Amino acid sequence: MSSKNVLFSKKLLIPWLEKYSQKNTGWKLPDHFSHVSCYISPLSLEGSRKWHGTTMMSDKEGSSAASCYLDEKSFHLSCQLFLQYSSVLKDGWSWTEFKGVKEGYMKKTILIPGRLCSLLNQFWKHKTEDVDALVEDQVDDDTENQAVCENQAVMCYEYHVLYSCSYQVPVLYFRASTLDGRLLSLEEVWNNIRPNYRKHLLQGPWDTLTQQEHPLLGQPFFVLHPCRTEEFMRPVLQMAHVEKRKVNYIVTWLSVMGPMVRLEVPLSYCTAVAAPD
Amino acid sequence: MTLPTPIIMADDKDVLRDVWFGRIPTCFMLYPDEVTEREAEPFYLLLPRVSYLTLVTDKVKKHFLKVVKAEDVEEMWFEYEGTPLKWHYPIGVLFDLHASNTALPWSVTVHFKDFPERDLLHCPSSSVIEAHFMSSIKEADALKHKGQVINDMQKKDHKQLWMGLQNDKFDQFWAMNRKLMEYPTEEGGFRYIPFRIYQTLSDRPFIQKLFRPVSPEGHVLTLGDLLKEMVPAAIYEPKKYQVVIHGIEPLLETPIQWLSEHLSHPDNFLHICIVPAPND
Repeated sequence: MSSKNVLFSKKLLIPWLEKYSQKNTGWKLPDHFSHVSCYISPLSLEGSRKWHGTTMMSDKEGSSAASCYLDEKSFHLSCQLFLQYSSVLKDGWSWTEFKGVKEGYMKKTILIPGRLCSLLNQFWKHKTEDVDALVEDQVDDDTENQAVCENQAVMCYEYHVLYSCSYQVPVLYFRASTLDGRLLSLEEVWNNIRPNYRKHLLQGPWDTLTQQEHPLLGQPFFVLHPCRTEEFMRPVLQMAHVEKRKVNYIVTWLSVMGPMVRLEVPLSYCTAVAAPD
Repeated sequence: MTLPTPIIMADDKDVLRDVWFGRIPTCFMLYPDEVTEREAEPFYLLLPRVSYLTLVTDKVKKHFLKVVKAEDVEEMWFEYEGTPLKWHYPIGVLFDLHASNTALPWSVTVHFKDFPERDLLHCPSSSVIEAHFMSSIKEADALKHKGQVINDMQKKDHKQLWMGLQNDKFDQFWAMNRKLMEYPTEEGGFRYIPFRIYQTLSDRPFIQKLFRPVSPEGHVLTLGDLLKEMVPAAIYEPKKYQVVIHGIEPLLETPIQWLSEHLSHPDNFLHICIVPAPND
């Protein structure tokens, strides 16, 4: 990736950081990550403001809102609508039905640049205290940039959206591999998450990132634990309810969860995909 | 003459003990292709059915590390007759699913190389087992009480559940776990039963759906009712299949609520194995 691109991305990113991230966490997105096409969904920003302010909804308003859970039928209908629009965009989502049963999952595979070394992580661990200084250093220090990017490689990320009947919410499973088929370890996946999201993940409302068995395939996948999904969806859904807007659960939820693990959901989904009746 | 209630209660408590102290005699053998400095003797161990392979095999690891070349040692994993064993399933489930009706001791192969990345979860430390265990309990409570009981507990209570399992302390575990087994009397049971059905001959790892212990008409639902809905073949072809929980075949008339309270694993799930019936 050329340094021109890096600079271009930085321009886009820094205002966002100053506006949202720094205020809450004191964090900036380091430009190491700006080589990645970095689109941060405004939906997720909106969401993140709201999770921080869960109490902004009074209980009275809350009780008038529809359920913040998603039943299995609505899950399937919401996915159907999502997939209809995806086929217009041709952005690669598809439905995989598990043979013999009515269960299945929404799937997408992408190729994105990533890094294989843990060097960067160690580097950051030491430097997180002084991110501002570091960002400035990086502007002038292209050689350091190159050293860090040495082990860059194209990676294949495979995302599955499944339904959890226990928590009555969707769950995002994913796995990542190199082009020769080697699966990435938890540490490597963690290293490929943008540092500001890493911080978000560590603070919750997620129980961070773990490796778990895919409930339909029986294979190891990474997953953002669903046990608190309802908690962060509630204010978003309640707000929509108050404003008499219909929300497609899958679109809203995926635009919050996806960017955490490098999955982008174009903003047009928000306006183009309806909620099931 | 009817038995006085306290005796029946005592019987039920005995069931909890019997489940907790169930053991499987196991013979661990090193995979023959592992490079050793001298011959590896097999290692015998009584494995607790309700625990996890990676939690109770420190001695196995130590034993084989004496003979395996240090530079050849990667993450330890287990296999039975060509099938990698998923450490995140309780030991009893692995045995019932893969080795029911075979001769004891259970013969498990130990590997230190070629970790099957596409089949097994990594288990770098016991904190990973703890996280998995607690997440199962949490999920079970989401089904039973919308997560209210587990969320009302303190961190030290969660720790007590885990330490109880880790150190094989029945009383310590059950002092806390009984809270997770409570329900309003008028409802006749949990909101939903946390269960998983495993089948030896199946592509999917397990079946897990919503199932209530009492029908809308107020009938107590049984193990048979559950299976009729989830795996009808297990009921209608009884000569082909066995329904096994903790190595026994419970009566199909047993209320599912009672099974959930008494035959669940410490992770609070009722793990049911459907295995091929042995040929007579």
